[in-house]
Amino acid sequence: MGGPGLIRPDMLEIVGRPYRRQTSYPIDASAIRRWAAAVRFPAAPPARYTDLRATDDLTAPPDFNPFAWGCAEESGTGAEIELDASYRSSGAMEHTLGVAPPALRRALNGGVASSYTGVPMRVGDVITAESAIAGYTERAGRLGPMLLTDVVTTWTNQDGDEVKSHRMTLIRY
Amino acid sequence: MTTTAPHPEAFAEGARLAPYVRTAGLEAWNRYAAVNDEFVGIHMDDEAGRAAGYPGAIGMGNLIWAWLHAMLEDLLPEGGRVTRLECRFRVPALKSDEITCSGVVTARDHGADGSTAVTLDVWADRHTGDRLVTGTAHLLLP
Repeated sequence: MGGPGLIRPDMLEIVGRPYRRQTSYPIDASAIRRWAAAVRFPAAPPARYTDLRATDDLTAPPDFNPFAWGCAEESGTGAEIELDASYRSSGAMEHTLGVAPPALRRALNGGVASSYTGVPMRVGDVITAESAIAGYTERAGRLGPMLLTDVVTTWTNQDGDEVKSHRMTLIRY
Repeated sequence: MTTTAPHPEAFAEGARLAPYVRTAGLEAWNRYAAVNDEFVGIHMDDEAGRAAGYPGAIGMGNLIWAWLHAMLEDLLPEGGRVTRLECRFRVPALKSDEITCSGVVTARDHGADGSTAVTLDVWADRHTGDRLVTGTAHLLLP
């Protein structure tokens, strides 16, 4: 109580409901190698990424994102409403569940946490990611009223094996 | 830059991890944006950074997250893996910051199957001493 009043009852109603489901293209070896090269720059990636003979056994680093440049399939919720273009950089997701996002247009990544099951992402794997809002908190910050939104995304592979669970705290202000 | 072969004592309680050092700036940010499609104004354009209250463009939290993973991967022995990594982004990196990722082992627990679970505090600092990222890592060693 006594917070900035950013969290509305209709926002709380969509907590826990999946708002996005994406399926990746099959992971290819070049994407893994480019990822390693970018992250390791200016050093060369470790040999396990660059050895052509190891391509069949190549696994992605756990933070690899197979959805970065698009996905093979994305299913909506059927409840989407239009989102004003001014929210494009805010990371807003409420509109996908038919709820107007709070009037905050700037965003920062407040923190992340990933739990890895030990199932790696291999060349040829197809990953499905399903995201839901896990909860909201709010506070007054240096930059004004801030809304913290925890989003949990679960990744599974084509066999239904869970790869990881990823939690991101989106700070909107 | 540091590449360190795994060493039996690398994960002893109290052991400090070999640092993973990178320079923040467009050379690194553009490469990461290219693989993660993170061409966001605040990471690319000084004006956008200033409009958001910073001295200029700021680095991606995701890139420091990736550097922490790379640091841990370099230290893991064959068969070891990261089971969980969590971190908070406190202050963003700015152009020309030298970023040092490191960590210290805070706990070790031996499993009945012979494996060892290791917990570490991890962080990323800039050359001025500011702590940009704090976190906790959990590893499983064979």
